[in-house]
Amino acid sequence: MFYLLLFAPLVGFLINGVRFRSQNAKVAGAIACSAMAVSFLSAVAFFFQLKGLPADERVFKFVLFNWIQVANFSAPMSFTIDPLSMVMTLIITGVGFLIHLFSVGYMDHDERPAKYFSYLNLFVFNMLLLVLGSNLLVMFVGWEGVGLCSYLLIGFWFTDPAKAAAGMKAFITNRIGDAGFLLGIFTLFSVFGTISFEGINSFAMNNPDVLATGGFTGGWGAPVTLACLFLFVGAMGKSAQIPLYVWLPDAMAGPTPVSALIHAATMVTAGVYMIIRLNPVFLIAPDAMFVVACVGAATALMAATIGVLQNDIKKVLAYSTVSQLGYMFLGVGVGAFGAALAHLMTHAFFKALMFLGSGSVIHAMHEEQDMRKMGGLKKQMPITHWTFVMGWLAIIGAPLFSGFFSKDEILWMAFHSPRGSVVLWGVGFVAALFTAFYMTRLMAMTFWGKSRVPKEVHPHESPWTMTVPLIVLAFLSVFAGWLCVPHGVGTLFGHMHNYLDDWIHPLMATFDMPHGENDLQIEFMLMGLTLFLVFVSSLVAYTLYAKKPEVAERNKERFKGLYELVYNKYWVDEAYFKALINPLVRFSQGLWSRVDVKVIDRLTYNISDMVKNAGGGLKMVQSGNLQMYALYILIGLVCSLWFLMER
Amino acid sequence: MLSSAMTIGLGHYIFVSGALFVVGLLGVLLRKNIIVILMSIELMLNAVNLAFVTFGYYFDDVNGAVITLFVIAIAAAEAAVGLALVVNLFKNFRELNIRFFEHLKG
Amino acid sequence: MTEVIMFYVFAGLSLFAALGVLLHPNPIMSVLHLVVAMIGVAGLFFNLHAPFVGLVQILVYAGAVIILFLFVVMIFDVKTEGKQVFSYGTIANGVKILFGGALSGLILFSILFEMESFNYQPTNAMAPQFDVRNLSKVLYTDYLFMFEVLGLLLLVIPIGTVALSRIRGGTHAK
Repeated sequence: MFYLLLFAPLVGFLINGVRFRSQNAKVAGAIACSAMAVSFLSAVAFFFQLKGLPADERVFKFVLFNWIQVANFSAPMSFTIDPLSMVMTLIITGVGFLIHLFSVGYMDHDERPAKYFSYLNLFVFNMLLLVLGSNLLVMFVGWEGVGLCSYLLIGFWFTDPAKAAAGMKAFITNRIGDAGFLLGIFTLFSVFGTISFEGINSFAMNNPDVLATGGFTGGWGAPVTLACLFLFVGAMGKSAQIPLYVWLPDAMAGPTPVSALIHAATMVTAGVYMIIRLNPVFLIAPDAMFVVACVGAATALMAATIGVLQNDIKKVLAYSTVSQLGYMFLGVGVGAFGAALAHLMTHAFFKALMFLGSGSVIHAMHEEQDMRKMGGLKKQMPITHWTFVMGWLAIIGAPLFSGFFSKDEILWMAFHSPRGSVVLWGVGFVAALFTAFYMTRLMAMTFWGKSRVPKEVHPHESPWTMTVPLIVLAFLSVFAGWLCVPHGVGTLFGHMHNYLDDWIHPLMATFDMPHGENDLQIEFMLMGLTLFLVFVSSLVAYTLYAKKPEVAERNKERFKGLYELVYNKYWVDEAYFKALINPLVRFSQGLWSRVDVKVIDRLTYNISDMVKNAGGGLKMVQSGNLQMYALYILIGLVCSLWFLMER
Repeated sequence: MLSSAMTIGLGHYIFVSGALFVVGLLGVLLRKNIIVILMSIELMLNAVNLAFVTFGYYFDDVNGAVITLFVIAIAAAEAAVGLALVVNLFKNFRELNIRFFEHLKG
Repeated sequence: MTEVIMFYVFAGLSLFAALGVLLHPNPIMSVLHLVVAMIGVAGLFFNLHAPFVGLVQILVYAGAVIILFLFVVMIFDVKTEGKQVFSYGTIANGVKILFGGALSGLILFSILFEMESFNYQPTNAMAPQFDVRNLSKVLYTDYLFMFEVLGLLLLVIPIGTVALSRIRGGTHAK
């Protein structure tokens, strides 16, 4: 059954990619969806099997073959199903199935649907490798595989140079991160002597002091800290954190379901998953964790502010994704691994929902993504609108919607945890306000207010293959939060369990949480403050963009400098171009014109000319002239006779 | 010097043999006509035969003469085959110049 | 004394005829010179007390091989080859002659210094008589197998020659 779980998408990829390359969207989609369904159903079966076991024994191991075995380094192609990877597997296959289903409708008019579905299946396969792999190397294989699929799918419409360039940007940016990830693997191996998660984690849990102090110098120079920082560089690339986040907004060039699956729900959370997976290691490297938290918080705030002024519906969602990923890193950075996983899960649901919703809108608007040409779509697209509303409420953290639980838990942990601080909380808090603002703005500009739709476009509700996933995801967005009710909120409902925390508890390293007397009061106070200001922020956005757009226009004039700065995304792309890419390009051109053409090429040409000339010279010997051959024999005879007589 | 001219020894015969060989060799190397080249080869074979018989005579060994008989038989066969080839070549190309056949293939 | 005179006569004859083969522009004249050279060598064989070998030489060469050459030359009617008797290429020909001279120099050198003198005489006073009896004794005992193989070769050669030079469809085919 494990083979069904892992290899069904691969089989789907092979069937679609090799056998039926020219099928129409319906057939190709059916193949891909059934592959995903098989995978999802076996994942569910595994879940119930796992649930039937006692908490400490919840683990299945599968070894396919022994991949690399050199001296004391061994990397078997082995997989682990434990509570943590189970959660991820369910998200990947479940949300993946819904998005495959959605794609059937969305890619209806495309020319190469089979190719699209085969890539999508391949992505799911690689993502499962990443999540299920029981050592870092298998994870790295999946890590690279999803990067490849991401590249292929971003550049799916490669005839548009901008889209192809976006694909390359994503790939190259990820490559920087991957280099860090590899260095992290090497460092971890040199510290722990193994690359299996089990070995690393159990060693880190049992010998925290040895690693933090004895044998190694503590603090920044400690190999463990170094390893964690390297790994975090990998996570930065894959999960789009400052400074490597620039690829994700551009990645929206791909088909919208791809954005939903890869660039919102699953792949970009790989970094978070990796850190949660290695939580015992990160816990003994507090400096690295502090960096993670800071970068996460900064990313959350920065991306949220950029999102406020974007006009492209998918760009807004992209920056929102970056921002929410920042939250997750803030969570893992302050040691709230459970909360980060909870947020990962709820975010997968509501962000996939919103991306698919935006896909539905874009499909209805005939590939129009500019929100300034939308508005008032509420009437034409009721299902899309209402499901989108669920996602909106979830992301801004409206009480009792899923985002509320996970986000407030992260904020509370940022405030309360010994690894957190008030500043981190404050940054996260402000980011939450911006989140509420830009999401409300998106809703207002797209669905509410007056219609700015051009006359020749007639928006219509999407077919059932697109609305069913929306409805399911909306349902999940609303209720998934109840699986991970934080302790504080749980007290309101008669000490409700945090099911997710309990579920992954065996894999988490313990770490001391201070227990003040007034914790509950403070938590509720902060929560109330957040809720109130989020409400205000949403109301302001609603008034500005749905009721009185002219006020927004006036404000744009009034704060022109600030507006320009944020609208142009803080000029980060331009700065990268000036500081890194242009010098590099110039340097490479210099290398090409000076070194390659003038030295290396000339050298090789000379050598080949030499060989050619030598061949040309020797060719004369092999003339076919019989008498010359006889002469050679004679010369040989004379020489050997001479030699014999000399003796 | 005169005495060595008046009594005939091994060296005289070998000298004649070597001279014949070199003349035949130059014929093979220099002449244009394939038929003449074949003749020159016969000449060289004869030179070798002479050397065989000479050594056989001077070192009291009958094998020299026996080998010569074999060489004569094989030389006759070789001449027959060579001439058959020349006939074929001439029929096809109307040409006997050895240089003409430099670029034959297959 | 007759042996000495015979040697010079036959040696001079064969060398002169060999030079004729090498230098005469007309192939027919080359063939005729070759006959003379063969007879000269046969005379030398007689001089070396090998009358049977000399007779075979005359029979096979003068009687068969040379006639074959003569026929071929006559059939194709290649009386002259024009002015150019030798292959083209002055430098190449120079090199060829140079090395030919080197070879003859080496032979002469070896006669003079390796064999001590021209006048080496048979160690055995009774020099071997290469007559039919002595030859056939060796030929039918020690060399019997080679002899049989040679017979087979002589059977194969005519067949191969016919196969090579026949005209498809008979002698009158166009």
